[in-house]
Amino acid sequence: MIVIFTTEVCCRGFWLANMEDKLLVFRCKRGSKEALGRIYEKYKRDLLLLAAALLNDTGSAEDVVHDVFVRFVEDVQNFRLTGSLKGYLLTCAANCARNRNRAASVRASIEVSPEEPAIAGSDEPAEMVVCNEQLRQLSAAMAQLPYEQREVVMLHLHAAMTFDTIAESQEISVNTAKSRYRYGLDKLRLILNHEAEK
Amino acid sequence: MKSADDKVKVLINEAKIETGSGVDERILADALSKLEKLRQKRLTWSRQNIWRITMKSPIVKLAAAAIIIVAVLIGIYLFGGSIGRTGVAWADVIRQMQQIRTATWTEVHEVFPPDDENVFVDDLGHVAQCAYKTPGRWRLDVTSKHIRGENKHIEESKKIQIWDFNAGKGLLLDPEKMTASPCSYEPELGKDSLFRTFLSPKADIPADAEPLGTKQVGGRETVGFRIRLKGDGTDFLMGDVSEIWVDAKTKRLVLAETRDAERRWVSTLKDFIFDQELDDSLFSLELPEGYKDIGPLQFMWVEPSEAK
Repeated sequence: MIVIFTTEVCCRGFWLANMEDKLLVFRCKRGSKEALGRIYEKYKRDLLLLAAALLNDTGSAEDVVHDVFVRFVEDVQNFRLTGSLKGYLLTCAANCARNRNRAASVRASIEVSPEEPAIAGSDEPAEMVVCNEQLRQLSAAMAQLPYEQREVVMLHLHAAMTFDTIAESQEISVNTAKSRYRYGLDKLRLILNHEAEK
Repeated sequence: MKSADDKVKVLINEAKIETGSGVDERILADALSKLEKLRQKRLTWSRQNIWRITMKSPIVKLAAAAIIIVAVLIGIYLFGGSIGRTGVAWADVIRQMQQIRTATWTEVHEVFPPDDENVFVDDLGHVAQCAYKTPGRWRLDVTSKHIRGENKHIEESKKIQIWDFNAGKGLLLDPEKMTASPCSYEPELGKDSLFRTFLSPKADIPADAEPLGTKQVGGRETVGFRIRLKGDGTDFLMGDVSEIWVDAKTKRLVLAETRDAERRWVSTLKDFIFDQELDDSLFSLELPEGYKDIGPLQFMWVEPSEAK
């Protein structure tokens, strides 16, 4: 097995651990369905979970992930992976979820009573998105937060994004991102404690 | 605040979501359809463009050079492929090769630039001294030639790669600069792992071996087999041909040549020595004395839009 390391093909600052994603993106650029399927399999749960927690609706979460992958393929020729593919896809999912949230019809559907979470399944297992109780609980609690706060909390805690990155992606100041996170957590604490006392 | 933070973290960590196959199909259907259109478009690319991409891409080099080694030495063994459908002679070769504990060989990778002044190729090929020791340890001392700078002078560089696939670690050494770059990655031998991804086109190789008859190689009677690589559904590796010559008696590898379909390069593996004692120090992932750890390196490749 030979890998040639030259100044063109090697650079510092990245970890070899990202290599598989880079290879998968490379193969996607060449039209490999296998590679796209592999990317989907690797990250679908993270993306669906983020979208479900943000939108409190599995149907909308599916739509978000669908849109993320369609756009990914549409732009794959010009796509250049400079960081983490997971981070990129999660940011896309968050952006997509935000756009959906802004639409009035979706807004109405996500602002449901926490006692009646919109996360539900169908009767056909193959057609189902199955959420566990913790996700239902998380989504129900998140639904009581202003959307901006949910997004920062999820991006920071689920996607492990820094406040700098979140601020940049949302075009807000770092302090605003931190404030939203802090207020969001305060409210979540109250909600979860209240739930625990029930 | 911390307790709330932790509580939410725990909840997020424990939150799980699963999808049925119908959901996956629904989500991916449009993306796959768009990808198919992209693939069709790619197939119409000019040959010149593909040439540029290929020669600038270390992935192709990796796969091409790895093909014989992995397929013959460890490919079937590691990837659990079947040899039941193939001819008896080729199956014997595979069985023999699976018994190997150590191997050393030389790889000569030659590049043939096209007769086209518009196509600039900076890679002039390489020679590598290679060593393999079970389980999954590799050492490659590579001397490569490249065209560098505005005056296009030829530069020779030496690099050493040491890999332990089982441990998921590697060490890249630059003997000229006395620098070392340790690497680590997820365990790579499992299903859908990185190297599985790299090498998946080769998993089916042995079943397609075509007998080539016999010939003398270095005074030994050898039996030949030709393998045509299938690629991975794209033009990646599709049509590349490997010819493998094994000792008629021992069924062990003597010579292997891989050519790409466009005849832009040929990779020759020769001077094989099997089952000699190889000191573990050859495959050590410890920082050698005098070397400076410069941190991890990452593979990168030139994207199509950047090919010059």
